[in-house]
This record gives sequence, C-alpha cells and structure tokens, in this order.
Amino acid sequence: MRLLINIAVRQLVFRKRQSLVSLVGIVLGTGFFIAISSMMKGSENDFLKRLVDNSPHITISDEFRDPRVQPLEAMYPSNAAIEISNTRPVTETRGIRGFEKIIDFLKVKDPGIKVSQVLIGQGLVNYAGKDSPITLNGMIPEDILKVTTIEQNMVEGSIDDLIGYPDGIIIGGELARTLKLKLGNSISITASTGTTRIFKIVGIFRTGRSSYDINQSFLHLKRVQSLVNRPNKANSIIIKLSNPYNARVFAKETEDQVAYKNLSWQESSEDLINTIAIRNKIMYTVVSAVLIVAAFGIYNVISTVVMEKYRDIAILKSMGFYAKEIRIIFLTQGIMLGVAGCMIGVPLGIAFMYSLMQIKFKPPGGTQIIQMPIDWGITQFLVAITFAMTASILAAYLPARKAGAVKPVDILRGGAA
Amino acid sequence: MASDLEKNDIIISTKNLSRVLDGEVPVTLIHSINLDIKRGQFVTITGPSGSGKSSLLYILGLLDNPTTGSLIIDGKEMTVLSENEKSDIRNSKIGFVFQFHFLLPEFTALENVMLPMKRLGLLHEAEIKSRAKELLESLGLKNELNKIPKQLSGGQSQRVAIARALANNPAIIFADEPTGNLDSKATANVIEIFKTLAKDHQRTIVSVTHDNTFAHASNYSINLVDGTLVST
Ligand SMILES: Nc1ncnc2c1ncn2[C@@H]1O[C@H](COP(=O)(O)OP(=O)(O)OP(=O)(O)O)[C@@H](O)[C@H]1O
Ligand SMILES: [Mg+2]
Repeated sequence: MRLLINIAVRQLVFRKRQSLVSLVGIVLGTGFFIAISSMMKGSENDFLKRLVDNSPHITISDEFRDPRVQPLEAMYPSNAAIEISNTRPVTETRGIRGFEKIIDFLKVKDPGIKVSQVLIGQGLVNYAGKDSPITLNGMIPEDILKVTTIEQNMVEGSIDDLIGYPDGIIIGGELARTLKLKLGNSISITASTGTTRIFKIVGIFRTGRSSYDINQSFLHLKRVQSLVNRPNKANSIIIKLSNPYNARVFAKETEDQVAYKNLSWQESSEDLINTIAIRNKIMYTVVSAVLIVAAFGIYNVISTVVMEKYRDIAILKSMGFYAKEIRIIFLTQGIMLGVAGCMIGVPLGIAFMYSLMQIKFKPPGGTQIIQMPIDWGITQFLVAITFAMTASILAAYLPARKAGAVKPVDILRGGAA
Repeated sequence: MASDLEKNDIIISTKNLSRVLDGEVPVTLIHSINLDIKRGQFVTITGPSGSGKSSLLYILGLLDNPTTGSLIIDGKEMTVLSENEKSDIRNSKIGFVFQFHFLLPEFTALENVMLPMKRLGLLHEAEIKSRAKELLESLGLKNELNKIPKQLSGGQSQRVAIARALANNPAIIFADEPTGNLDSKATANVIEIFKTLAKDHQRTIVSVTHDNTFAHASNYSINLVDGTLVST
C-alpha cells in the first residue's frame, strides 16, 4: 500500500502544472461553495429570526377555521325529509371565551410559554389634518415586554413609559416619519366604531420592516376595549413558545383542543418560507455546479495521466501488480487532490466569508443598514467537504478503472517509447 | 534416472499452444506450438516480422492467455491460474526486458530497480536498496544510480531495465528484441550479460531477436514462420 501511494505521489508531483490546475479547480469550487452557502444560510437564518422575533409564534384568534354546526343543522341534517328554509346562524358575540382555561392548558404543554391576550382593532390616526390607518394592539403593557421584541426596537421612549401612562401609545418609526410625529405629541385615534380618543406618544419603535413600522401600534388593553366598544374582551391570544420551531405542531394540537383558530408563524408566512426553500434549491444547484466543474477538472487530469501512463501501467502489470493495485494508484491521486483541495479550499471559503461579512447594505423593505448575515454552522463545511471528496473520488474512479483494465500486451507489443 | 533428471530440468513446456484472436476474421497468432526449454538455457526466437514471435513470448511470460493448449512452467500448469496468481508468478519468477526500456520516468534508476522487490515485499527497504545497487553496479551503472531515465543513454536505460528484470532473482527472463534500439557495442554488452546469467547463474533466458549475432550467441534458436515452429 505504501508503495502504491508512493507511486501515486510521484506521478502527481512529477506533473506539477496539471496537478496544480486541477487542485485550483477544487480549491475554488470548495471555497465558493462554502462562501455562497454560508451567505444563503445566513440570510435565511437572519430572515427567519426576524420573522420569529417580530411576529407571535402562535396567534389564537376568536375565529373558527370551519363554520360551526348550527343546532338546527345538527337536529335536521340537510338530507332529511324536512327542510327549513331561511335559517340564519346566531350572531356570535365575538371575543375569546375561557381565556383562563386556555392559558392553563397551554402552560401544561409548554412550561416556558409566554402568553398575552390582545384586543386587535382598526383605527385611523389623525394628526395635523392628515390621516393614516393603524392597527391598535390593546395589551396589558407588562405583557408587551413578555411576548414581543418591541422593547429591543425602541428608538425613543420605552414600554415602561406606557405602563405608567394609560393614555399613552407606542407607534412605529415610519408612521412618525410620514406624519412628522415626535415623542410627546398628542394624536387622535378614531376607531371603526366611530369613537375618538386622544393619545400621547410615549414611545417610537423601528423593526426595520416598513410595513410593520407604519401600521402597528401598542396601547393599553382597556383603552382599546372602550374604543372598539367591547368591554372585558380580547379577540386574540399571542403566544411565544420556548422553541419557535415547534409552533406548527403546537398550533395544530392546541387548535384541536380549544377549537379557536391557531395560526403558527410558519403558517402565516407559508409563502415566504416556500420561497426560501426554492431559493435554497437554486443555490445548491448553482454551487454544486461549480464543484461538478471542478470534478471534471480532476477527471480530465487523471484520465489524461492514465492515457499518458499506459506504458507505465503495462510495465507495472508485467512486474506483477494486480489490476486492483493499479486502480488504487489512480484513485489515491484523486483522493489526494480532493483532500488537498479541501485543506486549501476550506480556509479560502472562510476568508471569503470574512470579506462578505464586511459588506453592509440596506435590505429591501428595511430601513436600517445591516451587515451581510453569514452562517458559521459546521454543516455547510461538512457538506462542502463531502461533496468535494465524493466528486474527486468519482472523477478519479472512472479513469482508475480504465487503468486497471489495461492489457499489457496491447501496449508492450508495439510500444514506441 | 538420467532421463528423469533431465525431465525435471525442463522449466518451460508447451503442448499444442495456440492463440487465435476473435473477430470477424479470426487471426491466428501462433499455431500448435510444442516446446521444451531447459533451465539455464539461453534461447532465442527468430523469424520474419509478423510471424508471431512477440505473441508467443507474451503467452510464455503469462502476459497473454493461449486460446488452446497447455503451458507448464516449473512443473505447474499455468492455463488454469487466475489473473492474480499469474501476476504473483510474474512478480517472483519472471523478468521482462522489452525493446524499449519502459522505465518509470518519475523514478531514478535505483528506484526503478527497487520497484519489483518492493512489490514482492520479502526484503527490508535497506536490503532492497543494497541489492538494487549491487545489480546496477554489476551492470556497470555505478555512476547512474540516482539519474532519472531522461538522463540516461539508450544502452544505459536498457541495462537498468535488465537490472529491474533481475531484481527478484527470477528463474526466467523474457526479452523482446532487447537490442533492437542499441548500437553494436551496447548489443555486445547485453549479449555478454545474458550469456553470463545463463551460464553462471542458471537463469533461463528466452529472447526474441532479429539480430544474427545475438541469435548465434545463444544456445539455440527457435524459428517461427506464420505462427508455427519450423526446424532450423
Ligand atoms: N491485436 C491484434 N489484432 C490483429 N492482429 C494482430 C494483433 N496483434 C498482433 N496481430 C498480428 O499478429 C501477427 C503476429 O504479431 P507479433 O507481434 O507476434 O509478430 P512479431 O513476430 O513479433 O513481429 P515483429 O518482428 O514485427 O515484432 C502479426 O501479423 C500482427 O499483425
Ligand atoms: Mg515483435
């Protein structure tokens, strides 16, 4: 075995230029693969993190996915003999019933859960003669700290200011910008019921998502209840789980239990998540193509070597080397090129990652300049190494098999030197 | 008793050995060859170009398989062996010299001679090295040990190739026109080496040649015409 490796190394070193060219191919392939996948994975993680942080993991709302069966329908199925026409469902009093019981149930399922009831209403901000639609999140202010990350995104004021001031409101930075609002300004809000109240701005947040920053606001639950005329009611429960990635399963199970619609963040962002999945497929196809090209480089070099080495192969066989041993010689060359390629390619990829991290930009729809997110997870390195090694070995295997099958007579009989 | 001894001394023996290449028109390379070659003989194979000399030599040297017939080397039937078993015999009992030296270009003269010994794996590295050195020195290549083939003359290369063929102390050396590329001085040198090997070291040498001097220097010649033996 040592002899075979020795022969393999000699041949590689002897044809420095060719070996180097194919090495560069693998090095670049591996480097690019790592850099691109770390960038893609990084932006995906960043995106998901934003999604997870800035939206409730699960929202339970006072709606039902399927219309409830009316008592009359239950008594007289529609295929029965009697048909009673002009029935109409009872108008349901909206709002979540049995809030305490639901909370108890959730706490058992996930002890680390954070839950808050919310009354979401729609309204219109009026300031200095200009109007803007706004979503009113009526909450107990202490709960805002628990179930949202708004506190981290405050640019002016704080949630604490809202806790101490029932007529306060926290609005987004985009709304403040378009309406030229400042901290301490008073704005009047008209709810869909027609009720109008004056609120004082005690905080301004900026998440970076402009649609969110222009549309959302946080107020005391009691104030929203009176604005939309629904005393003692909340129409949603916002949930933060200890593990956000359980949300889909968790929501399904809770929904089966409490009947109200449970919307996980994954479900509400289904389109975006699908888009990411497609983007990942495209990305891996592209970077794999880079490595496949590199593998062709190896294939090319090793098959040229095999072709040029027919005489040497023939003579080795005449000396008594087995076909298998000849195959090992050339396979070893592929493996060595692959290993060397990875050993240089991985650091190169890391260097690429560092330089990518220096890039700063403004994401579309965002308002803040951020750094290029880079994922430093070990998986992509392993994927790149596995891929590069597999490609190198496969690329060497075909010519190696051909080399093993060389018949010495055919070469030695005529064999010009 | 004497005849028994004589029989045991036959190292290569063929019976009706034939080789036919398949194809649309089958080509007969050699036809029904019957041969007995004794140990320690220096035998040449002669005949016109295309008469099947190389074909016969490669079959005797286990590089090619006969279509029919039997080949016995050192008392054992060869035609029933697997490729790997034949490889092992080539490694330990047979040495080859070709018209072109076929030295591995990446290795020095010394390393080229060491290769078959390393493949056999019976000796330690140091022993292998000193044996290779001895062989090369006995062939007058004392100053060429660490040169790569590119730096050697034709005659020197061919002598390195002979040293390589002798590396594992083989019982038989097969040579295909070993002097085909050499001038008369180098040819005389190779003839001398072969004669000494046969006479003093009991090696059996079977060599194809076109060279009359070479043929005359051997114990006897086998003449091939159109793949069959003709008496000389
Ligand atoms: N693979 C092959 N296909 C077809 N014909 C072949 C093949 N190999 C050899 N032959 C033919 O078989 C015959 C014998 O070839 P061989 O090489 O044994 O001749 P040779 O006596 O060694 O000739 P030379 O003196 O020129 O080396 C030749 O006519 C050759 O053309
Ligand atoms: Mg020939």
